[in-house]
Amino acid sequence: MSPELEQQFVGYVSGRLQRLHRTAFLLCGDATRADDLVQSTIISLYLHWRRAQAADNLDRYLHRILVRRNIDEPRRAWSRVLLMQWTPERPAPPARSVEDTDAVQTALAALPAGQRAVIILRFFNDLSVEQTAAVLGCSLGNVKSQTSRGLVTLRRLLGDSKHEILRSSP
Amino acid sequence: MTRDEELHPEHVRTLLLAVPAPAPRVDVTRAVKTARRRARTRNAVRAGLSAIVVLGAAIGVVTAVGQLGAGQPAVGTAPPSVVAKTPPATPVSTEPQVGACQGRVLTSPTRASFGEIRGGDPSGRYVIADGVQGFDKIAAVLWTDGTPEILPQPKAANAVQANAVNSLGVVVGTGFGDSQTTFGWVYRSGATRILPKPSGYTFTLASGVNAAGDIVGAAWSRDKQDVAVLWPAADPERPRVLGAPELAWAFDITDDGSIVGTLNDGGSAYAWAASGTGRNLANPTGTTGGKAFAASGDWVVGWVMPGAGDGAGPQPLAARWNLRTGEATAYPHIAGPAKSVSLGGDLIDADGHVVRNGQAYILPRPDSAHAEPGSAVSISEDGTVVIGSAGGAAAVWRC
Repeated sequence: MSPELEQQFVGYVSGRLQRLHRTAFLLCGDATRADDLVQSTIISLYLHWRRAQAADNLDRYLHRILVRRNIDEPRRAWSRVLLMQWTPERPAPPARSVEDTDAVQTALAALPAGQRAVIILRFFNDLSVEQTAAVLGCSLGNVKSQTSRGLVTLRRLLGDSKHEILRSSP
Repeated sequence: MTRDEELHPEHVRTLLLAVPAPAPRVDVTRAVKTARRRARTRNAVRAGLSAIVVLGAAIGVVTAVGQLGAGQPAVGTAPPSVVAKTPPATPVSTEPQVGACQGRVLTSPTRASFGEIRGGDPSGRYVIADGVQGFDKIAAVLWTDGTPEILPQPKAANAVQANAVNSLGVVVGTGFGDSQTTFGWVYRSGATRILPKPSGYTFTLASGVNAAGDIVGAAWSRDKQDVAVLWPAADPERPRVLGAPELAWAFDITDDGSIVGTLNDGGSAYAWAASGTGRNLANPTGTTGGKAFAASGDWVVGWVMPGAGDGAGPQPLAARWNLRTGEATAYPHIAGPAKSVSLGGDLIDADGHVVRNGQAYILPRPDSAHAEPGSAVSISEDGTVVIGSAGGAAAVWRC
């Protein structure tokens, strides 16, 4: 890659690092794995940078890599997501009540992978139904049904704790 | 439903923002360096593959089945010896070379757009993978001599993941149900069964199984820290919690009953003798922490961290231990975790390379339909069969 192309690449990635990492963390629920996911996503993007720049929506291309990596990553990824809730290593201290915000993380971890990805892409990354379908490589109908099922499950899992979080949010 | 119970889509964003996400520890400059190295490797692989094809045509050799080390160096001009009984005594290169293996893509059972290959058994006959059916239904797939089947799921499960398979085709894994249930399961003689929980524990998972059918894994509950668990083949209804000084998981069990795993989720690699006595696996000099993921005979593999972190988030190194001699090796140029090991000590690294005598080998793509080289996940006991993926499909290589 030429120095100019590489500079473009670093600029693009640096500007999206925080958000990309947060998406990764929401998808997998584990800080270290989120680091690994972002790192491997960046590497993959670098290797395809020339082609990626030709994509009509680079951010969508990036999300696509991240989501696929999350599903493709090494063995026992899911078990680690679930296990981490009771291991001593926890993320940085939260601003709000630990119990309430943990409830969201716990609920996300309990969603089936497909529903979790749809919920995060649509409501955290603000992708439309069409864009989400393009990232995940599935149909519009699928995204719609996953969204509604995901919302129903989240509501059930969160119970009362959602009110506390919503009340204490700016 | 009352209005108060509804969860509006606009609230979801607020809820997601409320999750306390940690700061990223990713260094873009470092990632670029790694990517540059991979780009060089990739180009070298392509060059190496063309060299093999040209040579094959020149001397009329159609297949290049032989020792792994008989492959063409990724960079270089020396022609490969196509069939060699012993690896050539070439110095170890920090760049991966192309292994002299022949690959074959396995038939896919579903229209899985992203199924992950989970592993293979010590004989090389069986392959396990995640199969994605439709969009979010995840099932376990088992290939027997190349023929795939989707394993039946326990009723309680909405997703299952296969973690290991033994040389008789017994598969173990993790199942996920509603309300955050996680349970270990075993597939044997056509049926999938949920493993019993050790008394006092709510959740389990099964990570490894040996030829006799002894299963190992972990158990935990909300108020109890994780413990390593053995389901003995002789009495599977009575799981045994393995003694450990701290939080522990077991990942694999050898045919003679040695169990490997970790203390404190990466605090150190750990092993239990068949008698149940546990011990730390000593760290290779200059390294810290670790997990032992797989074992075969006396060899154990996993990862350790380079001791002096450079502040940019150190990457785990592939590590190998010998249970009998106490030998412990960390490979400075080979990414951890190592996922699988043969009786001879050949291992599979985190980049999907086969590592023999400290030298990493890339698997050649199985056929011209796949642009990318293969990625290994598991190696057979005798080191001649490698399981992995190529171009998004399951593949098997003979080396």
